[in-house]
Formats: sequence, C-alpha cells, structure tokens
Amino acid sequence: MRVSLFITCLVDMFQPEVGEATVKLLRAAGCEVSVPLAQTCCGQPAWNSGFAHEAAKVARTTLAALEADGGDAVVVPAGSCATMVRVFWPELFEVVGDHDARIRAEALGKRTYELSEFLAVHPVPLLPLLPEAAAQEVAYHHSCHMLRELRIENQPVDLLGAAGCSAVAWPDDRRCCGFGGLFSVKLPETSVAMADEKLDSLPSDVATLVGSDGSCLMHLRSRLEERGSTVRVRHLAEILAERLPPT
Amino acid sequence: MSGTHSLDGTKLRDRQRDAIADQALGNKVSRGVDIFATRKAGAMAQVGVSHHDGTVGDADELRMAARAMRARTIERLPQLLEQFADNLLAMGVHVHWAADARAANDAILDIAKSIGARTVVKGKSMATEETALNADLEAAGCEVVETDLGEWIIQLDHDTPSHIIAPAVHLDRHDIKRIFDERADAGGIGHDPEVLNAFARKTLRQKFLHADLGISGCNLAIAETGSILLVENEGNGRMCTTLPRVHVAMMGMERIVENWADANLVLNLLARSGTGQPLSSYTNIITGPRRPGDGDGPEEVHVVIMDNGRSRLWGMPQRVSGVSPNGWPCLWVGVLGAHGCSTHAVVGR
Repeated sequence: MRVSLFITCLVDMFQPEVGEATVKLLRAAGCEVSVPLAQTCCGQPAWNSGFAHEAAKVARTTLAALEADGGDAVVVPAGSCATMVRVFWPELFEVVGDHDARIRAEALGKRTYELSEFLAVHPVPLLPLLPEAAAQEVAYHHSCHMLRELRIENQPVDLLGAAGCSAVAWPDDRRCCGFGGLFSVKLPETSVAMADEKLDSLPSDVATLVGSDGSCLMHLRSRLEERGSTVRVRHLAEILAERLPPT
Repeated sequence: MSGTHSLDGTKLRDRQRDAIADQALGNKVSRGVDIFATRKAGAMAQVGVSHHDGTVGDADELRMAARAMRARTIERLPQLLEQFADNLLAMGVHVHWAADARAANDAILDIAKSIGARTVVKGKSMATEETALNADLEAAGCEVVETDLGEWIIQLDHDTPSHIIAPAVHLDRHDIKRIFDERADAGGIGHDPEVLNAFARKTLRQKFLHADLGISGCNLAIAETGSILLVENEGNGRMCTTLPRVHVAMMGMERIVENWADANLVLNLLARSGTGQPLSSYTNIITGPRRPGDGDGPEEVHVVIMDNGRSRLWGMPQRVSGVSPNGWPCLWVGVLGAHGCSTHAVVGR
C-alpha cells in the first residue's frame, strides 16, 4: 500500500521527530511512504478566523499536492489537520463556491486517515515494555477535533495499551486544552487558564502525557514547564515507534 | 440592556484578562458551570432516536435531527412567518413586524401608551435585552420589573445578564443578600437561599397582581397553530402572560418552527441541554387571547416579530452540512457559554 504523508505545519516545523516516528510506523505497517513536497498548510487558521477565500487558496495547494501523489491513503499525524481535510474542506470549498474542489476534497477525504485510526486497521508489531518502564504512569489527552469531529476515541488508547502503557484514568482527559489555534494568540489568558485547569486534575503519579495533536501538546508542554512539572509530553507516534522491533 | 454595564471603550482582551484574575468570580461561575454540566450529561443520556429497524441512536443523533429541521425551517422562513402571522391574526392577536430594535421598542411603547400602562412585568427575554427595551419603557414613565429571579437580581443591581439561561451566575447568595438589602429594602434579610427566595416571591407577587402589561420572550413560535411556547422554571413566565390584561410577546424572527412535531424535537433537547432537566417546570403554550369561558389569560395579546439584522444572514451561502446560513442552525439551548464551553468555566479559576 502506498501512503502519502501529510506532514502538517507543526510537525514539519517544530516536531520533526514526530514525522520520523510516523514514517517508521507506516513502514512497519508495510506501507510505502511518500511525502509530496508541494504540500503546504491545510488552511485551518484562516478558516477558523472567518477568512474562507484565503483558507481555500491554501487548501487548494495542499489538495492538489496530495491528489497528485496518487497514494492509496493519506495519513496525517494530527487529528486537527485530519479533521480539516475530511470535515471542513468540503464545507470550505462549498462556501467559496468552488464546487469542483469540494467534490475532489470529498474524494480525498474518503482516503484520508488520522495516524492512530490508520494504525488501528494496519497494525504494527509492538514490543512489550520492560517492566520498569511499564510501571511509569501514562495519561492520554483526547483532543477536541479528533474526539468530537472524527470520533476517534479508542484507537489511540488501544495502541498505547498494545505498547504496554495503559493510560491512567484522568477526569479531564476529554476536556479542551485551551490551545484553539489562533485563540491562544488572541486571548492568551483564557487559553492558559484552560490548560492549567485541565492539568490540575492530572494524577500526580503520571510521568508521561501522550496525545495525537502536536498543537495541544505544545500548549500543554509549555504550561507544564512553566508550572515546574517534570511530566514529559510526547506524541503517540513517538511512543509507538520506540516499541517497534529493531529492523 | 437592563443595567448600566457598558462595554464601550473596553477590549475583550482586557476584560477576559481581568475576569481570569478574579478568583472570587471564578469560584461562583465554575460552581454553576459544573452543576449544569453534570446535570446535562445525565439528562442527555436518557434520550435517543428510534430507528425503523428497532435500534436506538444517541442524543447526538437527536441533535443532528434538530439541526436538519432548523435548516429546513430557515429555508422556508418567509412562508412560515406569514403562516404564523395569519394564524395569529385569525385569533385576534395583534402582529407587529419590526425591522430593527427601534421599531420593536416603539411598537411596545405604543401599546404601553395606548393602555396607560404604569407597571410592566417581564418574563425573561433576551430579545428585549437586545433592544434595551427596559430603558425605553422607564423613560416613558413605566415601572419595569424583571420577574425571573436571576433577571430581577441583576436588574436591582443595575447589572446585565452574564448568561442567557443563568443571568446571575456570577453572583452568590451573599451578593444577592446585599443586593436585596441595598436595593429592595429587604431589611437585613438572611442569606439562606430559602429566605432570599421567599423574599423575592413575596415582593414579586404584588408586582404581578398590579401589573398593567406583561411582556415575555418566545422560545418557539409554532406556525401551524399560531402558538407561542415559553419554557421556564419559576412560574413567573406564566404569571406575566396570564395575569395582566395585556400580554406582549417579543420574538426574534428565527424562533419559528413549522409544526408541533418540530417543536417537540426542540423541546426534547432544550431543557436537557440547557439546565439538565427532561423538561422545564413550566412549558407555557399561548394560543390567542382569553376566550369566553376561559378562567384566566390576557384580553389582548400582541406579538412583535423582530428582524434587527437577522435577515442579512438569510441567503448567505449554504453550508454543506445541510444547514442554511452561518449562525442560523443554533438550537437555542443555551449550552454555549454555560457549560458546553470550557472557556466559560475557567473565568477566574
């Protein structure tokens, strides 16, 4: 199976290790991975701010790049960007009156998957954790778009379990982290207060906080650091890639 | 607005920063938010959609059905409003079409003047908050009394509602005791909720009995029967719409539903989402003025159908989700800001 990787802005610019881990996982799942270089952004910041035409301009570029790559599937290591492609692109193109792009976006959306969703049906062999590492508590952050738009809930948690790190119960694991894209820039005080409130209920024995959206993780990581916490924040792909057998 | 809490010259950025820093405010708001959220989860778990094959979908499916109904309704907005108005007129209800806030308030001021109204009692109405009706009525010499408990408290305090279904969620019982003492001559009343409630009940009862005009909002306008539907929990809405000789209902023009089946769909969600109740304590259905032989009800009923910018959204590009213009699919359940949105919950914590 040929997979086109939609790397996303944040992974490309800030978290290349997540991109590397994603490629390792996809290859371990038996896929041939390509990264179409003409891709840019999904257009979400502009779309969320009400700039539909500007968002469509950006989205068209990435749509064309992913289409031209001709993969059997598009995989995205970010729930938020996967949501943009699958849920909001058709709406966006319709709003700006680009019916052709809407039809193309719908077709692409049908073969676009968030990473954990893809791995749930294209399994990778994962080595069990060493006992001392398995004793470390892990919590999972369910991000808004993945949970509430794509309805992806069990897949990442099941994958964590398969890697030997069962997520602990966290009362606010489904609560918004407060990042919200440009929201964090426009109303930073509220954004930060939301992250702090979410983190307040994180069980004290948690050593690692895992999620599937680099944007949420960036926000939560900065708050944890600010609060003097030693909790490590990691993308699910990094955890899983470490459990792959040596090649 | 009922109060003097002006936003002029302030910035959202500054207001949210100040609110976040206000620990006491945060404690009050978060308590309310948490209670609502817990109750909603319980109430929503009780409903679903029955499928033809015998399976049952969850509350989200019900929400999607309501969204689709709203889209269908809004597409036919002009026809449905006409049908609604025709049914009202056939029952002898006066219909006032108001293009903007000024026209809506003027229509109500004319009614007040024509009946020589001195005391006006109001059920909770966000449409009249939108038009700042109270200030206009007071300028015309009327005593205006908000009768929803939360609305009354903030009216006494010259404040504005902090939320559509919980207008006084930013105040606790100690604040309310102070307001009653200072603004309503409660005479050193205690701060137990029962005592505060009893004082409000006793005071407001006299206002209901002596009011010349009752003004209400409108949760739903049912086109097929020309009915106004009002949900509330205190009975004040029922008294505002039955005790005074004249009743005026003010509605935004998007409040319309075609028929009772559609109204039922909204009712299934409204109180569950808003307050976590299967149904509010009172569901008032007003279909025309008092008829011969009726035990109570107003002799004269007016409905003000207000546009005030709403029609500018009508006809904007269709959204693919099947919902008409941006902003219209709102189900009016009051979740946003109350407890559906954690931005509201963090104020002050």
